[in-house]
Amino acid sequence: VKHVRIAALLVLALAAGCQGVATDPAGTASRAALFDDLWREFDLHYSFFELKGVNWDSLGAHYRPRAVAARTDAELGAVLAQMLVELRDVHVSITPGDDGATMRYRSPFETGAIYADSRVVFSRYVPTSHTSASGHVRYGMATPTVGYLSLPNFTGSGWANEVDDAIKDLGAAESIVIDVRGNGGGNHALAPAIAGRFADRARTFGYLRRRDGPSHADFANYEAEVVEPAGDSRFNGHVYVLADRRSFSTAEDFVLAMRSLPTVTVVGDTTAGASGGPIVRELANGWTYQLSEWIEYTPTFTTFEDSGISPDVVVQVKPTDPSLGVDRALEKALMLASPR
Amino acid sequence: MKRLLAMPFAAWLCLAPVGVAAAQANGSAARENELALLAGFSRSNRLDATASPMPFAGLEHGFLVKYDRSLHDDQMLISLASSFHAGRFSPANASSPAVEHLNEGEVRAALLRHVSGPHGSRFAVGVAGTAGVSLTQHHYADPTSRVSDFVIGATTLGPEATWTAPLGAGALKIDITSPVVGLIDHPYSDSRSGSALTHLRLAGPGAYQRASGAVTYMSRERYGAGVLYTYRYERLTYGDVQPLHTSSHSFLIGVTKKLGKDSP
Repeated sequence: VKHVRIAALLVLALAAGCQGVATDPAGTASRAALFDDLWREFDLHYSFFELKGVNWDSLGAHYRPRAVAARTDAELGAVLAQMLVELRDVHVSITPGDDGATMRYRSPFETGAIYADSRVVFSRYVPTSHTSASGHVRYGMATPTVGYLSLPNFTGSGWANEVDDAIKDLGAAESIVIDVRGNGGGNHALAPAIAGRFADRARTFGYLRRRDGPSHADFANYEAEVVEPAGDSRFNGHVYVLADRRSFSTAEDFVLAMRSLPTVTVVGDTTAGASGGPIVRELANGWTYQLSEWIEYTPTFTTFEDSGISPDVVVQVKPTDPSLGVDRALEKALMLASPR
Repeated sequence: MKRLLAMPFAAWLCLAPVGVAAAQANGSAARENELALLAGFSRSNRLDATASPMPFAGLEHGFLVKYDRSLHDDQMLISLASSFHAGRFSPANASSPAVEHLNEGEVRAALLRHVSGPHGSRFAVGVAGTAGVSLTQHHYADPTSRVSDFVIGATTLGPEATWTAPLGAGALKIDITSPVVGLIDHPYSDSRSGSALTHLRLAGPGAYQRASGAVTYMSRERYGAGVLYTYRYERLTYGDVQPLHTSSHSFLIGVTKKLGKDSP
């Protein structure tokens, strides 16, 4: 009984003590504090200040009074989004609150004319097609010897093996056209995982450098990005990768990885030039935002942020092509792939 | 994270002198080896700016295993302890569904010298060293439900003081400790595969401020075993570019068992 009393007293003491530390009586952070939090977090972690020539101090000085003067959360969110749009980075966004829509910079390539339409591909060039279990891979034979494989996005994870199934089904193909035009990116790890289905050996296809200090020039050492044989259905024939200005982020990683392989030719247009690896952060009021934390480099240590990755074979296309039922880039790839 | 460390830590501290005090209470000055096992919970607040500017609060649970050995006719005491704690934290102030899961482990060694005090009480002063690792899994409340892992490691060294006195049929012990130097690994960002970013830093009291105090009561021994009750409070501030602040109140309960006397 004595022990029970002692234990009860200690529990009560603990409970009493907890009341003093469980919550912060200061309550909701002020708008100025929220702005300062966001500005500082970008200052500490964003990777492209120097590369993009952004004067972050000036942007902070410009937008802070507007943030402080905001009358509602919606107004504050809009001011913060305006400041972040100045970075011209599709990987930067802010989601103010549970019900707020994510706001971010939209590249001109996202809002401009569409030069390739999958409906044209599958109605005219690959009339018989199959879709993988998760819907991430759509494929078929474009000619008796050329297979076609579309990867519309790299979202999600764990579906790289569906490319194995596609390669098996395209068994008659001597060459394969892989289409990542209009692919907005997704899971960074999928790019080398899928490219590995076409790799003969391990090759370094690029490098990453992450911010690791408070100065805008503080970066960790270069991390090699490697593509190596993966999967149980490796394809050893020639591969033509279709890319364009709507190939973003992980799709560009995929192009970079594939380009390092000796059996690959990139056809079409330059990619979007969105290379930053995004991380998620949050503000003291629970709002979340995303920012680029790394810079990605080609094997020759050049960046492709904003400039994109150029193709081996450039194909001039017209905005009217989809409406005319024409896909010039695919036609070019099929021509290159066809036996002479 | 430190709060967790503190908890086992505290418990351990408590135990060490408790054994001695109990021995005194029984009129014995024998050198004794003791093994103690404690479990309990703590209420903690934490703010690791590397993960989030939001303060998080939550309940942790954990256990501690400790071994004490008297040396040199009970003039010295060496104490070894190992502890593990885990907990789930929610934002303390904001209405955000963000969550943190914390796992923390620490080993500790201390060497104390006993000094006689008035009315059968005893003081002990010495030095304590700790090595601990804290793994935080932070679940962001963004549309993609992003999860990031953060690792913090710390090896510290600092003074420790205890006061033990007979109380009723048992013994009461108060202990205070505060590391004065630490080798801290507080990475700049979350940990990811392929990235081995470490930010080791030797920190003194200006940057690394950790202090804890505990009150422990040990009941009268029966069949060589006693019951321990420990309350501990601990605070930690690490003045990094992205600072770390933690505080915790812990309550531990357990048993201690004498493993034998070396000699009278």
